This record gives sequence, structure tokens and C-alpha cells, in this order.
Amino acid sequence: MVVLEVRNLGKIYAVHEVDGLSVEALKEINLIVSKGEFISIIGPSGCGKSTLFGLIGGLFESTSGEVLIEGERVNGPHRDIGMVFQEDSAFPWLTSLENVEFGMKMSGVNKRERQGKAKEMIELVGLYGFENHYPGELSGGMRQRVAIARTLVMDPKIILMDEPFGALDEQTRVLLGEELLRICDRIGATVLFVTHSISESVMLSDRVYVMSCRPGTFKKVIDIDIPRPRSSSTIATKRFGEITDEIWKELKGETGKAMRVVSCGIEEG
Amino acid sequence: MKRARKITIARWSVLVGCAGCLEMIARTGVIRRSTLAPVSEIVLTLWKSFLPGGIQARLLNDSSMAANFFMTFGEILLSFSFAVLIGFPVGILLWKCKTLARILSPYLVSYYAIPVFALYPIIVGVFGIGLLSITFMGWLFAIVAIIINTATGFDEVDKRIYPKVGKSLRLSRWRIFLWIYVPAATPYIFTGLKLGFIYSIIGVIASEFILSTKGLGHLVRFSYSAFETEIMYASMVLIVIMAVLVNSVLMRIEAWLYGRQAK
Repeated sequence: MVVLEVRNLGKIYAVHEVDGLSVEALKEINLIVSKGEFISIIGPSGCGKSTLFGLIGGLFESTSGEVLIEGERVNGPHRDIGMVFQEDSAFPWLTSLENVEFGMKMSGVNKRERQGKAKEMIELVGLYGFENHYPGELSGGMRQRVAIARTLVMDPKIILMDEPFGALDEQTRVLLGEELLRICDRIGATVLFVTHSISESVMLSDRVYVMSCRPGTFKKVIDIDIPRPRSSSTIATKRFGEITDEIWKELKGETGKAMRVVSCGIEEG
Repeated sequence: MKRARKITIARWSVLVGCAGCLEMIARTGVIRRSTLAPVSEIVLTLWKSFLPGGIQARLLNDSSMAANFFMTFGEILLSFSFAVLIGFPVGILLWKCKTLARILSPYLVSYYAIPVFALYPIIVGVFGIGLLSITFMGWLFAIVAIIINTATGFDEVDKRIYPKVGKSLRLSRWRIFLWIYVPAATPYIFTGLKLGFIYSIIGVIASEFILSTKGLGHLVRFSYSAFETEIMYASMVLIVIMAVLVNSVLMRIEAWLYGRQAK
């Protein structure tokens, strides 16, 4: 069953309104995600990954094309889309538990129900025993677990993740990736994952979309046929190396292109 | 014994030790009795001054200690409340309207360089002597600290990420403000409130020295010139206790709003 469909999505930024200068950040993005799939989007920094993430999540408006959730066109943030960000987004004034409860509290779920659900989710993301800790007392990886739990607990049909482990160290990154696989497996989540890490995308995904730069568009789709369940030891397999190499070859040219462009940051919106 | 408990005991020991030293200095006559009263007598005077008929009203400026206390406390609360009521919205306005903030910033920044008390004749001229001028002085002293800290607090909220979280949870702008911006700015806002309250106290007490015939500030000055050293110190102690208590109430509210990190 198709959960998310992106048709011909494009975004043009007006850089200078008076001069009519504009930058085409995204062009002809087409994407179909079925239920339970784990899809990664990979590309060099500044290629419009975060723009695409924001467009699908409804944080800003596209210039062309449309986003459909189960066939229904979406405008703006949607109940069925959950978002996890790269930045540290756990609220420092709330405990882990209160952070996870936040979305439910805002949508008027009563205290008992939301505490029950939040506790369950905290356990699922491996934060049992840290319910009453504040983010300031947790490590970066644990804070990101809080943010993930806060999104998952809303029971979204599709979870968008924008480099959620980008700010973490390599080991934490691999371990959290492994955890994420386990969690997604448990709850049958559908995930759209934005990353610039090749090994992360190969490790986690069923399919990887490689983006090209300026304007950002999908250059190649690669199916990851490594059997599940995967774990951190998957990295050592031959097939993993082959696919990684294939993606790297696709990306190489693009990264060079991106580096030649002076100001890439604008697409990060 | 737990470390936290030891520290609590040590803290109280500092207070008791200082009081003991002062008591010794006064009792041995190192400093004259008319200048420094023994702590024990100050406490006794304070106690008696709250009892009916304990101390002659004449010594207390024809009213009870409690009446003077509530007068001053009322003026402080009034001036502080108005400072919050006006300072908080103005702080938000400055955060929202950057042009206005840029226009006003040199005035706000140099505000506390002005010795407001030197202007007291103007205030007397406009408001006369009494409650209004005293409250106005406390308000004038407190409001800018609240404005500046409120505006800074909202400015310091992480604009890259928090609004996105709110938006992705489909919150309205008002709810993003109320449930994300306000708590995120709480540490700064409360710094402003705590400072504002201290400034209110200073403004009110100092005004009472010169602009009043009632209140603790007046009592300090009055008993000083009447050589009623014990009453003078009793009034001072009362002022200090009041300041410390209200400050700790504000800190508790902050900790409740912002979690344990506030400590």
C-alpha cells in the first residue's frame, strides 16, 4: 500500500526580489513510499535534502508539484507525518517523559492515557529509568532518543527524519541506527530518512535515492538487497561494500559540483 | 550523614557564626551600643514590636511594626506588579519589533547609569509625598530590568529548531509562543523578575527614607535620628527577611516552571 507519494515536486527560491534572481533548489522530485518501507535520501550537503524534507513535512510551500498521503493531497503539516530533526530538539525544561507527552498534551489526550503511552514509548527507545531526567542530564544520543520517542508516540503513518544522528559521534550513530531498525521493525514504521552518510543509508534502508546538486533531483535509485535483520556486523559483509561503493561513485561527481558552488547553504532553508 | 545535609548545617552555621560575632562585638563594647545593638536584643525588639503594647507606639512612629511592614511590602508588591504588567508585554514588543528595539536599545542599556534618586524633586513635584510617589519610584527602578531580560530571553530561544517542532506538531502560532517560547525564555524572564523585585525593594525603601512618614524605610531613618538603635536594626532585619523570602519564592516558581535545571 502506498503511504506517501511525491509528484513532480519543485522549489524555486527568490534570492533577490528586485532583480528577479532566483535559485532552483529542487526539480522534478518523484517518490513513492509503501507501508513499512525504509527509504533513504542521500546527497552532498547543500543539494536540497533539507528543503525536500521541509516540503514533504509541510514546513514550507513548494513552487510546483504535490505531496500525497494515502492519495490525499497535503498542505502544511499533517497529522500522519511525524518529524525528527537533526538539531537537539528535546525541550530542556521538560523531563524525558514530559517531552514524549508533549504532542499528546497539545492534542488534548488525557493525562493517564498519555502517560501510559509515553512510558511505553520511552521503554521502546531504551530510556527506561530515565523518565524523570531532564535533557541536560542526558547524553546527545539519549536526547535524540527522546526526540524520536516524542515523534513515534503520535503514531504517524510516515516518519520523516532529517539526519537525526548527524550531530552524534560515530559509535553512537551506528548503535542508534541499529536501535532504530529494531524499533521500526517492532511498530512497522514507514520511514523517510535524509542523510549524508553512505554507510548509514545502506545499513538502514530498503531503497536509497541519490540526489544530484543544483537543482536537486533524484539521480539514481538503488535497491538495498541485503537481507534483514541487519546489525552493525552487516557493515563487514561483501555486499555492503559493493553497494556502498556504487553509491559513492554516484555521489562523487555531485559532491565536487556542490563544492564549486559558492553558496550552497541557501537550500537548507 | 549525607553531604547535602552537612552543607545545609554548614550554611546555617555561617549565619549563626556571623550573628554570634556581631553579638560579641556589641557586648564587649568594641563598637558603641548606640551604633551597633547586640543581635539578641534586635531579635527581641523585633519580636516585641509585633506584640500589642510591647513597644510604645511613639518609638515606632505612632503605628505598629506590622503596619509599617505591610505598608512597605504593599508598596513593593504594587510597584513590582505594575513593572511586570507593563515590562513583560513591552519586552515581548521589543522582541517582535526589531526596529523599535534598535531605536530604544541605547536608552535601555544606559538606563541604570542614571541616578534616578537624584530626580526625586521632580517626582515629588508630580506625585507629591506618599504612596504614589514611592510606588512610582519602585516601578521606575524595576521596569527596565524586566523589559531587557524579557526581550533578551525571547531573542535567545533557538529559532532554528523550536518553531519547526511546534509546526510539525501542528500547533498554532499562539500555542507555539505559549508552550515553547515562554518556557524556553523562562530562565531569562525570571532573572528579570528577580532583579526587578530587588530594584523594587531598593526603590521603595530608599524613597521611604525621603518621601514618607510611614513604612520600614522611614522607620530606619526615624529610629536612626531618635537613637532607637534596636528598632532601627529590627526594621533592617525585617527588610532583609522580606527580600530573601520573596526571592526564594520566585526561585521556586522558576524551578517548577523550568525543571531542575534552574538550580
